[in-house]
Amino acid sequence: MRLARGFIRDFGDAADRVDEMQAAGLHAEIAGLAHQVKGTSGYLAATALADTALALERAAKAAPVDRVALADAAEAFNRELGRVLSAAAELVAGGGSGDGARPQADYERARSLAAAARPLVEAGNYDAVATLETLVGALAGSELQEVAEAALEQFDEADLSAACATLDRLIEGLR
Amino acid sequence: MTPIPARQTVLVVDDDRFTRTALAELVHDECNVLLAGDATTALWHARSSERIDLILLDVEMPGENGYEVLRQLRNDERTADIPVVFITGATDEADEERGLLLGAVDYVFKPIRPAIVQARIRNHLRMIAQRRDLEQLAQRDGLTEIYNRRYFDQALELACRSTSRTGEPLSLSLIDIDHFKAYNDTYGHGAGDDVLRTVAQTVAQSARRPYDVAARYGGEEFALLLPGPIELDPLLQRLRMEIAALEIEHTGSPVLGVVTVSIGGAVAAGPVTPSELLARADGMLYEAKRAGRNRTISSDVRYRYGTDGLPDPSVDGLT
Repeated sequence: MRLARGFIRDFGDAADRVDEMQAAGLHAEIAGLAHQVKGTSGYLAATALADTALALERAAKAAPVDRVALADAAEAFNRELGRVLSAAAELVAGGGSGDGARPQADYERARSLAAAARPLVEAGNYDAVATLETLVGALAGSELQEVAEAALEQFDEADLSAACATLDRLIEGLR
Repeated sequence: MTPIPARQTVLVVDDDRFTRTALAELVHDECNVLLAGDATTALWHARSSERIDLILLDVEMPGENGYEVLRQLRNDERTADIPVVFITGATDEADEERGLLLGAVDYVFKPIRPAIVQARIRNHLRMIAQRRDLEQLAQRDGLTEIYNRRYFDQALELACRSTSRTGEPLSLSLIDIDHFKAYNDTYGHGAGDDVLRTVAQTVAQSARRPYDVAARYGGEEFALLLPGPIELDPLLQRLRMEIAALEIEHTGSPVLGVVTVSIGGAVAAGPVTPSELLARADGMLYEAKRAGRNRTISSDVRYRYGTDGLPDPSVDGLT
């Protein structure tokens, strides 16, 4: 579920980016993006996407570039990417149906979760992810949900000091 | 003595979030996972964390690369033995050879194949745990299960080097069970072994800080190595009284009728060799025995006299 969430965050707009780069003739950039998707799709066992990404990368690196072949490869890539993104979105929606469906923010619970997350975040301990995810759920619908999401994203990016600062701001807001 | 945590700790170092998360997801059900996105954070984790069992290290990172991180890990005695698995997108044979020659235990290519990588990490962690178990066994005394003489000698050597370099105080105490031969003669060797185990565990309870060492020095003699500032005389007095308070009958002892110990302690704060410190502690132990046993005598002069310069009556073992 965490990988699916990350995949959506990173490549949710990749099809649009491929189209734009194709129109602008940015072939090296297309190859770079396809390379990234190829590597990442391995973690999701999305072999068909990895194959189309490889084909797109090769088409974009060809010298000279065959524009028709590139367009075909881009179309196949975008189609497969759309499938994987839909599946990832379903997975994320299913995984979030627990705490995320809370009708109201539970500030008391959020306070203890934030306090529990703080040392984990500071230590770079991966257990922080689960605690922060639950914290986001506990604050669902409140103005502090975004702050908790920002802390989670910063931790995901391994920016521990920023995540700590955001969490401190959240703890302050929960007082 | 710090207990060994049952869960192993894996440090995942990769500047790519997706790879970092994927690797963490592979192992976090079975291990504690720490994350780092760059070389500086990785080295900070390795040096400051209580224990890291395995590092999964990306080769290509902005700033210092994985090879440089590994070199720095190997040059620091705190981190030199941490096994490292390289994770890399570079499939060049020369790169792989370079990593393995630098001391990496394995080399994994990106994009990773999750099931294969998970199995390889498990194998490494299993071997690491077995190696650690063997090291533990080699360091422990078979009868009392506290550290053995071999481990103590190494710890004393390192501690003396440290205090010689830093001037931080270092205390060494030798603890001898009074009239232990008579105990064995009276109650048999099986009962004698029980006494050794009980006394050893009581001595070990005085070694509470991470670098404190309680060891069986030999026969019925134990050693307590306490680096850093500590109120040695009160601690040794307490230990002596705790052992007497066990009230283990010892009719063969003319001291109290129960098992007692004599303790000699020495404190160094500056250049000292292991043999010098041992000789000083041994000299104090000899004095404690000569003065009638069941007492502590140490060279920790801070607590032997009050601020008025007169002997402090609350401290026993003064001669």
